[in-house]
Amino acid sequence: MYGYIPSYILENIAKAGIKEARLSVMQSGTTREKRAVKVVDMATLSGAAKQPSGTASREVYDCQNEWRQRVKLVRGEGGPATADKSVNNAYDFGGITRDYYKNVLGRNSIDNIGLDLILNVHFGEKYMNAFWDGDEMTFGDGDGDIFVNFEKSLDVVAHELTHGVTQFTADLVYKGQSGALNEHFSDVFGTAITQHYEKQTAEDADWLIGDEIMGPTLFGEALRSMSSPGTAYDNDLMGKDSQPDHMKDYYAGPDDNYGVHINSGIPNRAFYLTAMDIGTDKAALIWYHALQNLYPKAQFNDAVKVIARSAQILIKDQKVPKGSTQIVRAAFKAVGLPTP
Amino acid sequence: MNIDFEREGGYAPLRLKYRANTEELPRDVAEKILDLIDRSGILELKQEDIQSPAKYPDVFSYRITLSEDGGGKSLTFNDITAPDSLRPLLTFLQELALEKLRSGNR
Repeated sequence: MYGYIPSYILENIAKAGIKEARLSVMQSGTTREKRAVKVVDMATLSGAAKQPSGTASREVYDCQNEWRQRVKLVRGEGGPATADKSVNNAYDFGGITRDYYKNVLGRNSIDNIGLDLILNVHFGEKYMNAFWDGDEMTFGDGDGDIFVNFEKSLDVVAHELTHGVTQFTADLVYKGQSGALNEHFSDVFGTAITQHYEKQTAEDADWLIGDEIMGPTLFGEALRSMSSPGTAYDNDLMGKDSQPDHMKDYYAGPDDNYGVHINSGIPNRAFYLTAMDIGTDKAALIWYHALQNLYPKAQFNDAVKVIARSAQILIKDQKVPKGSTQIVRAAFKAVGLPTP
Repeated sequence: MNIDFEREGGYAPLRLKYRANTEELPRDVAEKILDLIDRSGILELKQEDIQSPAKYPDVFSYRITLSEDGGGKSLTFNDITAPDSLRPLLTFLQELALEKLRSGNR
């Protein structure tokens, strides 16, 4: 279907909220990109490779410090803990994230039909990063000085896995405001899942992203603050946190794909304000509902409308408190959204 | 040879830049860079040989520009599309960029 109908038509239908069109736009774009990059091995071509199980099974691979993914499978679903903490952390945090999506949000894994969770640890040499690439998650060990192992933190694992969820729902284009929303939703669920697991309330959470992977050189710093964007770090190595907390300070330059990790601070603070009012779990319910109704080129103003509408629907379903719609609007107004 | 290297993106906001002229570097550093450039085959690579770097969440994106005697080569790629042969050169350039940051030279 997606090969016959022009993509711009599909996107307009997706914007109108037609689920099948949204899936088609997403699948054609992402699958085509990923397939163009990844080399398919003979086992997969011949059918001898393991087929997706549809049971959301975890597979943890040790990349053995090579610049390749899926080098050696070291722990499968139900397998015993290994002597490698990185493997066990990736396994455990992948499971906690998967179980939150299933038990709290009713979602069956990343694609909602049980996609297996592939987690790669020890990628590259002193690799100071973690990413989602359309199929799987990959974590570096850091250099042990600035950053430690990236899978050490539940909010990092949940953040990356949520990029997958976004891919299979709104599929927000990773550039500009839609890209900042993509980053924002990953921070939202990274934080919500961490708070839920650690049984924290919005009031006693620290609302910091990445504080657990800072190494000895940057001890006490964090990568982002959802409660106070712009205050997470200030040091000679990283400079000063440049996230704005209001649209008046919106970054319009080309760096970072036109600010995907920068401008995410603005909606991040709106989520924090909402959560402080109705609780993080209720706020996350609203945001998850909205994520399923957003679309690839959605801008901040679009997200405000959709999130407020999601609050209305969930109030009607008695899943969030009355007054949540107004709380959401007030939270976004506090950060300067919507813009005229 | 002029080296202009940049890395951006990633989960953690640690942007790296490294610019140098090998004739102005300590001899051992210059020799290592030139050796890695030679072994990587980067001067023979064309941008069209590298898959178009799609915008995946949180991957690092790299740009390397090499120039000498009026000629030059500039390539962009990310962690998914980076040719394996470039990895040792990328690793060393990132180490040099980090050294500069640590010495307070942003």
